[in-house]
Amino acid sequence: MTAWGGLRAVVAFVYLFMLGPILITAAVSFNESNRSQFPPRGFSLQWWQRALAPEWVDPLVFSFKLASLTALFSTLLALPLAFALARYRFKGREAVMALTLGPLMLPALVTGVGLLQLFQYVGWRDYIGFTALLVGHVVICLPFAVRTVAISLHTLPPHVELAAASLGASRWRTLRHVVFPLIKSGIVAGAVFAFVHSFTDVNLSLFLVRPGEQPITIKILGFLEYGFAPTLAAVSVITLILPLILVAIVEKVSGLGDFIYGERKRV
Amino acid sequence: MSEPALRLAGIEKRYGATVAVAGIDLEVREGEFVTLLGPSGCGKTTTLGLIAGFFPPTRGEIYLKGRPVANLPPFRRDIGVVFQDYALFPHMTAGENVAFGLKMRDLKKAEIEQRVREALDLVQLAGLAERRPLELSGGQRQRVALARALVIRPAVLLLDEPLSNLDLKLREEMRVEIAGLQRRLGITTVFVTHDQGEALVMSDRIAVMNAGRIEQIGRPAEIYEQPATRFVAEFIGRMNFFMRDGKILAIRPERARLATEKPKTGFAARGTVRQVLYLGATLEYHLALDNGERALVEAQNDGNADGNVPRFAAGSVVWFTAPAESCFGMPAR
Repeated sequence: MTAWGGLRAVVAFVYLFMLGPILITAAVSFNESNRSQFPPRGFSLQWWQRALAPEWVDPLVFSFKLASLTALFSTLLALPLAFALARYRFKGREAVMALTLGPLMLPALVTGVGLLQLFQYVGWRDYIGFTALLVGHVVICLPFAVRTVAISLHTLPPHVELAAASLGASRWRTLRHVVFPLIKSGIVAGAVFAFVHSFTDVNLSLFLVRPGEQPITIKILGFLEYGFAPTLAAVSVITLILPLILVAIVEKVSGLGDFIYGERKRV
Repeated sequence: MSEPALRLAGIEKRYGATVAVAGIDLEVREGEFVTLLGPSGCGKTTTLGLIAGFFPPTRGEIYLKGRPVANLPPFRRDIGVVFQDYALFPHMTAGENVAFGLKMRDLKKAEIEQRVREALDLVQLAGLAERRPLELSGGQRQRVALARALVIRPAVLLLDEPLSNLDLKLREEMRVEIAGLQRRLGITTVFVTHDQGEALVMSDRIAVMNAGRIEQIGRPAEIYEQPATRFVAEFIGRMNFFMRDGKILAIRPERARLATEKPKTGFAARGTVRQVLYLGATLEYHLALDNGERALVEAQNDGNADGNVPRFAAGSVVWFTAPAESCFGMPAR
């Protein structure tokens, strides 16, 4: 086998294991009977019908809201943090850096348990549910947003800010007309990472849900205790496709790919 | 006498214990082209940054047409800067890059368009206004950067090694072009370079910098013909140094000659040819003098080995000679 043939085999193998389960799940959702068999027997949309009932749509909408707000707040917090970390050498910088990027190293499970205890001890029990989830998700998604913004700040061509200043732009106008357009794709990428990370999180959410306020992942997990049904397959496909659609839209609009795949155009 | 366009008075810049600029006084007249020349780390780029206002001086004042500006931020100074890496805005077209400074001055759209067109014409980039920096060659980017700095009609134009990223041929073309443009527009210019050739060709006056200070300032010929210190003599062109009676005697290699016999007048020292280098237009003779000193003679290649410049072979014993008017002394430091 030639080297290229070998590479092709490896790529095919990786794709098989990445896409295989997804395709199988999708196929199972079209089964005619209430059995999760593959290849599917017959064809029916009844499981999709069930997947679109409020029982499933509500947690999906909940997840969508949670992820959107998580992306928004993470990005808003990440901007000043990334600026401070990338640009200034200040006292306590190491501490801020560790606190910001820490959750990346910590199992989200631990963060979840910690947050649950915190909310209970300080008497915020009533906030467990959406609010606690939002706080927790911002904590675990912030590192992604900070990192992408900081990286895009570091890859800013040198001297463009000084050039803008010498041409008469105040600091604010330099930010608005030069810095912001150049780090935009980094900001968007950070927001997308945060959204996807929040939308797919199970570990942290497990501890902070309450009845009626649970994301789709937790709902799926709960349902699994009663066994796997084709309904679940349909729900899984929806859960899978939603973030993909989002990434595709953002990619189309703002050239996210440059950022994700590291092909930044430089002068 | 009228106020100089730019005046630095006792400018110092320290970073903690490190002294980047150690007290500079400099006056640049209206329309003058002054070059800050020196090796890397001599403080020339820091001085430029101080004039532009990218950071404040530790001590001293900067006057622009008599107005003290040391405490003004760069965007209030009215100074055009061309950076070594051009620092074009990659998300804007060439035209938008040039228009940026005018937009920041809130000029009317029609005037901006007109001035951008004129500026691009000036640097011979008419027709490339819609290109992005990424789609331009190095030389074209350089021209956009120049147009962008000139279009705001700054009181002073600062050029920070703008030619060092170009290839040799383009660099030599741009030298002449920038110097020509500067004279035509009569714009006061401070140019920073470590390239003595650029400095000699382009400048009205050269300030040779070393360790944060100006060692000597003068017209290019003055700097070359009468270097005030050993540092200047070594940095610009090449120089033979001989210790005589506790003083340094300096002789340019192209003013020295080789002779078979000791001449009656001028400087002479006997030695042996160690090496002859053939450089095409010139020949270089590297000598070891009898007293142990080294000497260099640069001779025109006149195509005649037996003419007035004999092509001495390595190993031959010769006299290193120079007319008295080509020798000058400087204090041994």
